[in-house]
Amino acid sequence: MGRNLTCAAVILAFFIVAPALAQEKKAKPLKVSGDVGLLDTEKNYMIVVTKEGKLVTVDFDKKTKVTKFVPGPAKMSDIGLGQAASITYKQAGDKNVIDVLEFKVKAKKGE
Amino acid sequence: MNNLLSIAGTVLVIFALSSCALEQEKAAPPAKPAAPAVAEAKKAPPIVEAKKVPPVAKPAEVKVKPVKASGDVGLMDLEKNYLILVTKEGKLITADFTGKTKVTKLVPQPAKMSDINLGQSAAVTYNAGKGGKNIATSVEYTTKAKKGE
Repeated sequence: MGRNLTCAAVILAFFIVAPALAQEKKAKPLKVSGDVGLLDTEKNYMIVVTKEGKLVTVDFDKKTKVTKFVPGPAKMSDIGLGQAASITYKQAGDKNVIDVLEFKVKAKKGE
Repeated sequence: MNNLLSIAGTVLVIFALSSCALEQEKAAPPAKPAAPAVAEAKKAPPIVEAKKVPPVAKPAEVKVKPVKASGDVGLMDLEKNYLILVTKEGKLITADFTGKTKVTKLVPQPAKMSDINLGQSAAVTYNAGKGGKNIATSVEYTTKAKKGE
């Protein structure tokens, strides 16, 4: 009876601790945005200068996925709900009137 | 004797006249500022009106200043021509759009690291590797629209 209880406790502890250990192993990806201050395609590294003036050095390799976003004309009806967008607007009285709206099109599967 | 009296009278008259002239000269200065004051008072209103015009124009310039905001489109009404943008902070921005609103879609295309120019804004996703090295998994950047687009 005592052994069974001990085994049950060990199994229970394993199930509690295992997810935490798994999370530790998986390093959470970090994001940084800013201007490219240096790009060395021979040594495969770049320095990103953030808005706050922080310099982040990042290495890249062949696996690094590089995507360029090309602007093109669109209509308001092309925008879906929940889509990320950035707007530039002016306040006219109690209303905000949009001058420019930009939204990113999600890449199709396989792209 | 008569001569003496007449000379004395003439001198007295001259003295009296000269004293009057001095009084007029002394009295004159206060009169001078009065005249310009009146002239200024007459001229003042147009100057004041001219000065009042610029402060009225300044608030209009402040209102024209464009504001930038990013987030997710929470509501889009194509009939009433307005949308609601939900920012990362959870703030809701209601904004109207017109026929003049410039709508641009950013289409993703594969690229190379060598395509990126210095000074170009980019978003990098990376993993903090062992030994303090950050290894990029993805790099995204936006190309500028060509002239006329």
